[in-house]
Amino acid sequence: MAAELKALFRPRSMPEAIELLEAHGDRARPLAGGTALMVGRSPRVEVLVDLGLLGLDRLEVGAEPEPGARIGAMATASSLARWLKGAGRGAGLTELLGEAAESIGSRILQNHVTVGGNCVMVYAWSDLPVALWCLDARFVAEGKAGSRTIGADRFFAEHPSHVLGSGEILTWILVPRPPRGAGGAYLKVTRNATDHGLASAAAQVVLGPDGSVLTARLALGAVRGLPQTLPTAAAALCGQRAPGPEQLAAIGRAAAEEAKVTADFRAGAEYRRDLVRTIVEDALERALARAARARQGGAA
Amino acid sequence: MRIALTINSELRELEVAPGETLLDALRGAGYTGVKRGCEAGTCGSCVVLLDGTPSFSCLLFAAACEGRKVTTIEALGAPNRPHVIMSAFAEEAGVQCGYCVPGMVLTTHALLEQNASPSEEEVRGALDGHLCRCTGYVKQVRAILKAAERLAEERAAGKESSR
Repeated sequence: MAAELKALFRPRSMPEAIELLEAHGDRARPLAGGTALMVGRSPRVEVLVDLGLLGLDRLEVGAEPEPGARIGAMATASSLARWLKGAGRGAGLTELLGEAAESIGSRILQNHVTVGGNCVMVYAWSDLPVALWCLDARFVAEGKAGSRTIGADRFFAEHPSHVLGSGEILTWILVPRPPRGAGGAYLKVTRNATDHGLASAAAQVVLGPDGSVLTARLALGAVRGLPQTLPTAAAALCGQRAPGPEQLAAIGRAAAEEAKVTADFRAGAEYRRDLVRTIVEDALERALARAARARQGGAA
Repeated sequence: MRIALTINSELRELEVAPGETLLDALRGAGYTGVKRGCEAGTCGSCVVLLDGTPSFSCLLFAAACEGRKVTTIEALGAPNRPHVIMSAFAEEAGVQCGYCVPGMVLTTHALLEQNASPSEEEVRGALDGHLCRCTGYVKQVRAILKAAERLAEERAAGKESSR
């Protein structure tokens, strides 16, 4: 990249950053953690606009009317995971998001990868998009025309870099506070501790007072080019009261059937489909156990 | 472009190209304890501390590090005045070809700042961004646990003498 890159700007205000991106058009990219830009070098990128001085690395507990987590797009995966275990507990999220953040590559890589960068530059194996889609997060983007909020279904419907307009910058990710009785889990299967995933699954469930499943959401990563949700398999769980191993095995089979799966050098499609069956079942089991504890004890 | 940053507690000004990595900038400025490995954030030989946090210098744009504090292995010690962690690596034979060691020692330093008496599992976890093709990690893990013990003893002795 050293040879191709002509300039690296470090704007100190959002209008300045937007202006720079607009001025350089297709030749410019916003710089967040830099891992995608460094490794996937593109000769077309001549100008980088560093977002590091815009105060976008903040992590906040959102107040009413939008309780939950307000995650600055420049917060790193490691700072997110740390915050969720400390001050961020007030956001009331389940373990799902922190588990996804801590499953990215190695711990040192987690010091680089930003939440916003992981979402906008989503790869097949990216972890946070799977978790954030499962949590129905919303994505705030700022551009010349002002600010807009994009739902996860829209944000991940195609590659998010195409959803954002040129000169538009992802600034915040809003994760809604789950209702009482929620439980979540993120699971990933890899060949070794730091390789990209062969398959990953995020599950979030909410249990009612009688132990029946009020809502369930499932999302998958690493089994095809982009993450996906599994609305049909998740819906099949809703209304069930204290689902046991047999019921969860059935949801796992439904997930394997619903999932869009592709083969690559890491794994064949049939193997991946079988992984989906297994990890959806396991993630749900974990999420349900946590939801049951949250329902009884209060804290998620 | 010219950037100012603090390297090993010393304010430095460096001339860097816009696309230059921190790895190249540091090695160019004489900090050759920073090793070039995979250049993809996988092997850990290029690890430095950025504001105290272990970071792959191959994944950082030098120009984006303006104003930051960088710590390389040179700050920790030298052959004639080794840091406790370095001595422990040598004594426990955690060094063979030595290429991965500067990064590992820096990561260890950051770990022990956060967690003075890590368990073996925590040590192995902290090292997950470092590849070593020689030792199989066993001796390095042993070295790190030994260093932690020794640093704890030094701290205890220091407290004793300051009384």
